[in-house]
Amino acid sequence: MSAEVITFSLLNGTLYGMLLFLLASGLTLIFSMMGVLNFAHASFFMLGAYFGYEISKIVGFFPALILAPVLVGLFGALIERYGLRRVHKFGHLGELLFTIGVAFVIEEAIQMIWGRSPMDYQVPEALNFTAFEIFGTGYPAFRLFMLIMSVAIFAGLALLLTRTRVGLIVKASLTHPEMVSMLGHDVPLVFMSVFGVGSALAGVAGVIGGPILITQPSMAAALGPILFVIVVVGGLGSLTGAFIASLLVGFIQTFAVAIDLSVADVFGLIGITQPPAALGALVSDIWNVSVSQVGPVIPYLLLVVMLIFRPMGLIGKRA
Amino acid sequence: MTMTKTIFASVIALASASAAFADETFKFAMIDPFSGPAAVVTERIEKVLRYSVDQVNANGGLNGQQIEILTFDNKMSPQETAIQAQKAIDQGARILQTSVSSSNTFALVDFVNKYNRRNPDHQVIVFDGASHDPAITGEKCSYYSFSWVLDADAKTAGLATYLKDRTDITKVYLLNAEGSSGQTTRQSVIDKVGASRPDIEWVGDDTHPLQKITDFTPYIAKIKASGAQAVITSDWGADLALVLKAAGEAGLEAEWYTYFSTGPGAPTAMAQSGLNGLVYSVFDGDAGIQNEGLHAHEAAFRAKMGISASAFPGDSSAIRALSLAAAKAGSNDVDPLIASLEGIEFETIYGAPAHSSPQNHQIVTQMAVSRFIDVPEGTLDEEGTGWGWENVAIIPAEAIALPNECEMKRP
Repeated sequence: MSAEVITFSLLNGTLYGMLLFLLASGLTLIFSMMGVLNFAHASFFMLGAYFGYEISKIVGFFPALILAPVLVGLFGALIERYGLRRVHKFGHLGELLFTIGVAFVIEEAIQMIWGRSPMDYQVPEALNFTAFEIFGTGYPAFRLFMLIMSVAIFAGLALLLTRTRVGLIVKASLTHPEMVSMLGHDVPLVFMSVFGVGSALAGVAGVIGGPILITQPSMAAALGPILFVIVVVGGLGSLTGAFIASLLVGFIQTFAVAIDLSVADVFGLIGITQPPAALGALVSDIWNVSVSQVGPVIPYLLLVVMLIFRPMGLIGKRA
Repeated sequence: MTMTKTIFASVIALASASAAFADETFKFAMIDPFSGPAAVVTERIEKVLRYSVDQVNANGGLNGQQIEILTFDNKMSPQETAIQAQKAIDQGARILQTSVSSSNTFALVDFVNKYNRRNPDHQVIVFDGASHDPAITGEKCSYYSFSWVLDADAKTAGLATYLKDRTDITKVYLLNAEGSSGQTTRQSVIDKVGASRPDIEWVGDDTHPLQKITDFTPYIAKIKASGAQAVITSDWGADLALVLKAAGEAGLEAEWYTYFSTGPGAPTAMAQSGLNGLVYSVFDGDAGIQNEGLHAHEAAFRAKMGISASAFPGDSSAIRALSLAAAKAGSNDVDPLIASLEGIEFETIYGAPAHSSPQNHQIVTQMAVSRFIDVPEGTLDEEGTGWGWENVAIIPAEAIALPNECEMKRP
């Protein structure tokens, strides 16, 4: 591997990983603070992208970057207040099924309102230039903006949860709800706010991710599975874990694409050029499959391996 | 007991017979995914089909009989396609059309072959409106089925013909999805383009998972590093849109030869990518072809339906051919219709002569290579982007006529 390829892969991996973290941060926040695995998270992300598109048409991208997440956050808070809270008493399974239902409803609603074709959601003019060039390949300023936003959100959330009273109350509400409410705090309001903030974070990701990806009704379904990989690998409920896992998944996927090595090449090194016939058709099928071909599937393999050997994830507290 | 049963049976038989006689419309079933991610394609095909049918109906229909479109959701599954086909037949459909996926077309042709063998007095016809697999009119061809778009091999042959004159391109990168469609196209490109341009060097050959990738920048870095002057890809939908956007972001200067860049959403992504004049479409045709009839048709269609008509030529061709064939046969019965559909000559919406080959029921017509540019004001654009197609070559029908493997079983 040349220095050029390694530099590109490191850069691309970081940028992609940060996009994933932007998405996963809200999901992991909601899970760690409320214990709710929100299957509708990617749908909130999609709502953020559509709201962002509509609002930026009227007032421009940067106001939309604030307004759209606020709207999504309010929507999330309402979902918590009038839906999730009622389902809560039936346990985790009820919550899980409820969020799956919400995901379907949002997707259908978006198809009804905006139709099935992709929206023409573009990178704002102010950020539509090449930030820097390496080996003749340009890197757009918008991706750097995304990177900065991601790091800022990570730092902001980590500080909020570990260094402020708000974080203290939120964490205590999860483990000792009675005690917290006896101290005079409104615990249901705390949960509603956490869910709202988590949804708003998905909204931020949507406003930023919309122009990079494609703003269309299937965008939620395309990203949902990889988010769960990140949250599980990072450790359910760990913000730092999600951050590390996002980068890890980003690196795995970008480096894998650069590697053209296949099973045949590995055995070629020790002089075996044909698959042993005795091993049957299965082996000859995977004989010529290169790493780059299976790259995007490796994170899911990682998920399975992680669940078997370290179910609490990289830094997770829950098993 | 037996008596009541017989009476009951004959009453039902009489009822259905009289229903058939009282039937005033010619029922045309559209069996396609009306739900799920592929529904965006179906939505547009339905518009093209309805527009063509409305034209025929306004001119008196088929021998005085109006065409009625029935729609059935096959949920993108071959099994469901067969189930919906039975439902369509029960509702009186005489022609069953499917467009979106080749595997559904195979399932439908299979079903109809069996159905027609079992019900020789009530046979039906299959129309294939947009599928891409050469086997549909090749080894799997059927007497009851007609295809109205050029298949992947014909398009690749057209691309090979075009590249013969583009001697400036010598380094080509192949990028295709896994799965049968992507992989057959890849092989076909290596064979056909390799034969017409033996000097071309394949500087890269990547296979990626289908519709699972959200970040194509690593692929673009790889393409750039390979020094490719052109990329040939059979990618479609979100894959194509994302890969072109990533290419635009990185400032990749290679040309893109694509099979599906006329599809929904692709023009929007291409305009966003800013790849001006770098993305080529290898397709049946597009709005960039210089033809007055085409431009008038596009203008009228867009005014009514709000989208471009030329991305789905198969459905317009099917209805044009059907209307001419019915007039020629003087009857709307299946046997005379098939007889006159064989070899029927008509004009496509691109203003090109076309006919349905009597050997394998495959449309024979020209194709186009066009590139996507920022078009001047007043020219036809795509998806309201201000960008549109500029035709660079028309490949005549003779150049893309391939030997066919069809051994048709005729009744």
